[in-house]
Amino acid sequence: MNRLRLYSRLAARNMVKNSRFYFPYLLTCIATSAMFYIMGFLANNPALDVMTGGTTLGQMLSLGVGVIGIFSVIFLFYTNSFLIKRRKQEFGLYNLLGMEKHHIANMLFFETLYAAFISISVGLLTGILFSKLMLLLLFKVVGALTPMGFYISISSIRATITLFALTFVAILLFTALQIRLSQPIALIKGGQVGEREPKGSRVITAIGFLTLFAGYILALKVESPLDALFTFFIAVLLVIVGTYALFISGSIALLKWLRKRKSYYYRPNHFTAVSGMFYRMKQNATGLASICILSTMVLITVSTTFSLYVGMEDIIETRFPTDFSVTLKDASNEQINQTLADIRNIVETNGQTLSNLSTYRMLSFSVTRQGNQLSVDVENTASNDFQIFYALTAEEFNALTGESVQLSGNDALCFTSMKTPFENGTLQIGEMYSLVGMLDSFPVIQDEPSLGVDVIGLVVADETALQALNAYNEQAYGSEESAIQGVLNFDTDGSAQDKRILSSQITDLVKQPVTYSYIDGNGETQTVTTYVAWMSAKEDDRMNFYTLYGGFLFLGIYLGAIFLMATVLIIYYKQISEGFSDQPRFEIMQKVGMSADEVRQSIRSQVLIVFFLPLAFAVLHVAVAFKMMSQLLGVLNLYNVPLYFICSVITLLIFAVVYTTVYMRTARTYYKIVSGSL
Amino acid sequence: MALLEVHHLKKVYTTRFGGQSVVALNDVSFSVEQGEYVAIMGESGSGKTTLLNALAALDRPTSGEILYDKQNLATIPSKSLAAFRRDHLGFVFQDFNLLDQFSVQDNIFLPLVLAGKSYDEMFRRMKPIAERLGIFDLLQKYPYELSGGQKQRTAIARALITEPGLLLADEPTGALDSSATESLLKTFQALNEQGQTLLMVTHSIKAAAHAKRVLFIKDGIVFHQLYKAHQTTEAMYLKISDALTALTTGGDQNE
Repeated sequence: MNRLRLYSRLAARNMVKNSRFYFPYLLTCIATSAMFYIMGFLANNPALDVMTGGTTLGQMLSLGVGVIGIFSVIFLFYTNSFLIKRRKQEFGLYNLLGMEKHHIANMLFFETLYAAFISISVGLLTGILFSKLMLLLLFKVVGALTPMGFYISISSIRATITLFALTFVAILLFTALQIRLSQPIALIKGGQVGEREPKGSRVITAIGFLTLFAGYILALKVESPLDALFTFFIAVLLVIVGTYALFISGSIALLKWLRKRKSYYYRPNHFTAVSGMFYRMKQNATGLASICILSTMVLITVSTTFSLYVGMEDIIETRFPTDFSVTLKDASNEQINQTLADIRNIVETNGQTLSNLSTYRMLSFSVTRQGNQLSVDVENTASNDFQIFYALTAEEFNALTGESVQLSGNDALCFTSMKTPFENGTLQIGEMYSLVGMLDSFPVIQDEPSLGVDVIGLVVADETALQALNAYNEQAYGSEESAIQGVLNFDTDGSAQDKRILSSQITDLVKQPVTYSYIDGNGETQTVTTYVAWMSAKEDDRMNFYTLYGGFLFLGIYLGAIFLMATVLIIYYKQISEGFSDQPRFEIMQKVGMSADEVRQSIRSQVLIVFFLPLAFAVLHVAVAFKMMSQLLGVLNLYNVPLYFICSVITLLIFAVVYTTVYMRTARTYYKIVSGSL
Repeated sequence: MALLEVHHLKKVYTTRFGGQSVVALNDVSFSVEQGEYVAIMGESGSGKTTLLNALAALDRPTSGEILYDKQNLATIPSKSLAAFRRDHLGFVFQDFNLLDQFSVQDNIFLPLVLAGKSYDEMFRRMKPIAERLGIFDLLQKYPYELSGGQKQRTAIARALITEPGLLLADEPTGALDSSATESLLKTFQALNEQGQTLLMVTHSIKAAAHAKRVLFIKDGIVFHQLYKAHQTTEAMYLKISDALTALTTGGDQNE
């Protein structure tokens, strides 16, 4: 009983005495558990159930819970290992003084118990305190009405306690095992194992350069969004490999080169800095490379989600040129006119007017091109090698473009986004068409070319020719399903609310379900219900967009903040533990004639390099990735490159400010340690 | 001419909260002539290291003054202290204090680099010293590859390269085996014969017996001193040994 009291008191005293290390560690534990609780609270919030798109948002946030959970475990293990490394000497001393290893383990048990209790309880309190604020932020970002009342998520509390308690148990077991396996002398010597000259391998340096450049070139050569999708992962992988290789081996090679240049090396400030960097890079290269990669990911995630959110109106404009778009399947001109009259009626009944109207009939299906021949490859619909085929009659084309094209027979005008031309001016799709002219643009095409999907558009003579193409498609698919669509695009005046009301009324009008039956491969009759018409309204989709991209942004910033915290803490710990091993070095330098000012300056330059090397590389990565990322944003319909640029710069600035603040704090603590005033 | 004069030096350490104070040096006065070889002896806790730190201007005395070449150390502004140490004093420590990130050559260069000298000049100065100390072949090695004796010779080379007026040695033989000790003491003697002034703090009788003069410190004051004059080192050894016995058995100064 008494002994337990002794251990618990020893543990408490240890924590106070080691507060320089314990305090940031506890702060991290508190922050991660609070953030874990909040994310769980948001993901399961009942307010999501009543929100448009709330389910999707909930799923997205649940993903965030998973990411934070995994990250917390890794991160706590990592920071704890720093703590233990620093304290090995202390443990060794206890061991020599007659404390058995299991006594030390008992003491550690109490320390972990206290740490766990403080982290989880304070973390949960902080989490609960800030959860409402985060909920308000989330709802503001996704543009939903703010929920009332205060709510505490019991399930999230339970998850937080379980996760963190288990993590602490694992950490305790791991530490105890480490102590069990080590010899007291090894413990005592702890940090000061033989300092060998690090070797920078030329081969690895060369590999680093090659992979980094290959990654960069891939990223810079991206021409279309689809390209970007395919090369993205390869480029990222190459750059990661290159970063690690260059940090680990390249840095040493560079320092060796600097050391060979005698007129550079033997200057007072370079001398200590270059040789100091040798050991820093040897011990920290991997850590710094990880920080660099982590920072790059944070910067890219936050800047893309940020610009997606800010550029949402652009995206919506691109996706929906008009407020409303009604598509009728297999419609004749009479049907289109009838629907238009009905719609006009609804709009006017609601006291609004219809504008920017355009109606047309077109045909569209996917084809595979071989030379001058387009065919419908039913077997191979999953392959990447396909084009989208559009056809309009000359009459529709004239109406849409204001030109006056006259065609007869199998004459046609052709547009294609493909680079290979149609030779001999012919094109076969079912029948043979002679191309009497090539077009620079085609009116009804949407965003396929920007996605990297090629398009072929044909203007044919008349209704007969259009029906012939439709017949070819029906025959190829062996179905009665027509590929001819009637499209009505229009705007209305009135508020967003008015448009939402209109949207539901028009949907009721056009969205008539049609049921038909067919006999499937097993000879059984199947009944299918489809719609012969559908409608999209900008206002309805705007809300979905806000939920989706707002959710992205929230998650991006939230995870970014956690990663940033991790980055900063890792660097802090690294510098602090280095300060202790550097202290004797600087003491010697002062004895042989270095002034306190020179020591301070040497420290500043070294800490500066260690701090900003990863950031500088991260900025370089982000800059090179810029083109590729802006193409990728094109996949999501964001073509506003200047906007993405501004968002990137803002993200970078905020990141740099946080980073610099931490740097200044760390450098001060480091100097205090080195100058022996601690 | 006295190179170093110490007048009524006193150093009192006070605990952090000003409660208790410990007198490390009470009233120490002595002087070292140009070209002398002086050993300071005393038991642990007698204030030897405190004295050396004060002489090196690493620590400020509570009262009293230290004159180096007639210049009072207390009047040197703290900004110039580092340069002063670099230009006038050489240090040899018990635990060598080599920097493990530097090669032997760079360790020797360190004070000159800090003084802003060019590589060629540094090399020109270092070559004869390294050759004399027998470490010229080791220049590209790193401290962890050296024996204790080699490390100490590197440290001596580092101390000598600035051509210091006074070489201060703090227990230089403390971490060496007997043959390395022997060779180090021979080196010191040879240096002294060439005119180098040496001040060594030690509790090794063997080391002190090589010096021309031995000062004994006890309870913070200079308690006794012995001159070697023309005696052999062996005879000096016996005299020091006797003096120490007298000191520890509480004999007084007039004995």
